[in-house]
Amino acid sequence: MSASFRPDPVEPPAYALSATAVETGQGEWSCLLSYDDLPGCEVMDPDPYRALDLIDECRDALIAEFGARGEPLPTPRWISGHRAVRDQNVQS
Amino acid sequence: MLSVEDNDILTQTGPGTPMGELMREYWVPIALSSEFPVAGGDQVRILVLSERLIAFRSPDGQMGLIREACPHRGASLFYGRNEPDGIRCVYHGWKFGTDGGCIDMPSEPANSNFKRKIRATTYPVQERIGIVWAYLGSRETPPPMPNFEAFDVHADDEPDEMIASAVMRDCNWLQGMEGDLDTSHFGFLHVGHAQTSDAPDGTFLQYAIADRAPRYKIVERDFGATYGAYRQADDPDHLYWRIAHFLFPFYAMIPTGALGQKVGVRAWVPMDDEHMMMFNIGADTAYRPDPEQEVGMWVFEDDRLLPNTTDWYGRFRLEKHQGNDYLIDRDLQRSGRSFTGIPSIHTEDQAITESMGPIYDRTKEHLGTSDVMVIRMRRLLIAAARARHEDGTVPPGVDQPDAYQERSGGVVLGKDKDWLAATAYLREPGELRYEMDIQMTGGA
Repeated sequence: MSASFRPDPVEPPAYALSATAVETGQGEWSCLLSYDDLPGCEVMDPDPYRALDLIDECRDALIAEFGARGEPLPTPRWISGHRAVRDQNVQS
Repeated sequence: MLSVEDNDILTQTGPGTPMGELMREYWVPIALSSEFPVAGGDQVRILVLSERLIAFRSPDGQMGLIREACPHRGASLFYGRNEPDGIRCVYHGWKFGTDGGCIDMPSEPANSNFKRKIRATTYPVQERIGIVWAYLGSRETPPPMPNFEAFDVHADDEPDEMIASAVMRDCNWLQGMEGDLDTSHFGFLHVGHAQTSDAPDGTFLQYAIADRAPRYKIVERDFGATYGAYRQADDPDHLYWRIAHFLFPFYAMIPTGALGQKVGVRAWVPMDDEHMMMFNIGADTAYRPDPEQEVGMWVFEDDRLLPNTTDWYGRFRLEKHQGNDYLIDRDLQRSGRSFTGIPSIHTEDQAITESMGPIYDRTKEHLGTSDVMVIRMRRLLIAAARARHEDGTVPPGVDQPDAYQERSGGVVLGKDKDWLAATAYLREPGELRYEMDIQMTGGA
């Protein structure tokens, strides 16, 4: 047996994915997906399967860009926010 | 939609299948302890992951789980004798210990060493919180049990604190599992008949009725994935969140009730590919509104079970089933007091998921934005099953028992709050958090 399973080969942090239905035309709706902590990472497709493919491609491309620039990846706000709340509790 | 291949991966859990191999990495709930009330009592037929097994509590109180067919000539050990130290096949008297070793072979010469060469297939079992769990995997030393908070709450001196129950369902396990992650069905199947005025003002129930098409957020976690479905609460600055989890391989923590005031988990365990057993562990903390309120989760009392039989499919069957159309009351449905005419929330879920057929063909489905969490879960399961099948990758949570320390439920948050960061203390096991008045759920 090897190491524990990770769902994605690039092992990005667990960013929160937002999913909303948006009207794109008369009676036409699409699935709008975005990663909250990755600005510009937003896709839309009528097929949610396809939208999920696209959003993960977008995320991976953005992460690769961060890597190419030598910049650290953004910390998901639910993790940084959790730390902030925990630190507040410890201080109080 | 799914491909045929992916649907097969998700729905087939017998020995040698990718999903079957994945599920065998984990401890699996197989029975209620109450099915074995006395030491040395009757054995029980257990069908799990398409394996036919016999479970028994030996005269000295130990639980045993053994493959049904006697290794000698395949006679059923269900008819065997439950004796001290093991179970004896009544065909030729061969006896097997709970570790599978053949400890007596009276049909062969007394000095024959043949019995030392024979083993029955047995599986390790343990009892926790009123449920018998088995490990059907290949590790010599089984992994740790998932460390659900429910195990801690169930102190020996508070035996009534947590309740374990089971209900069989006549369809593939994934149909039940997906129902638990598909929060949008609540607004239709369970309260589709309701107007906002039917629910008390300022309650979760009213928010859910007012907006039946919530927005979603999803995060992958060490144990699987968490989603939050949100819609406006009383004012534009607040949101009502329904937070729930998918936990590998078949567990769900559902978003009913109040986050922080509820401990529990449900398991959707495949019996075979066309039947499942749903195990529910939880304290009975649900808020039940005044009976005059005709919407909400209070309609839970009518889920009577038929008496168990010894049949493979004879355990924990609802009185209301496909054969009697779940006792649907068309007048009630027409009256506007029920969307379905089927009494009880649980039976509504049961009826609808069974109505999709024994194994739903997902190549025929048409999914929308409200199904994104279901798709995410499927992809996690398929990826983990493939990785396990192709190169032995250990799936999520197997060796991380503490990853299972989570809670689910509803909460109202300021619009500017991060839904997971702001609820971390409510989701954290330990103390129950009663800051919120439970009546605020309204029965949602």
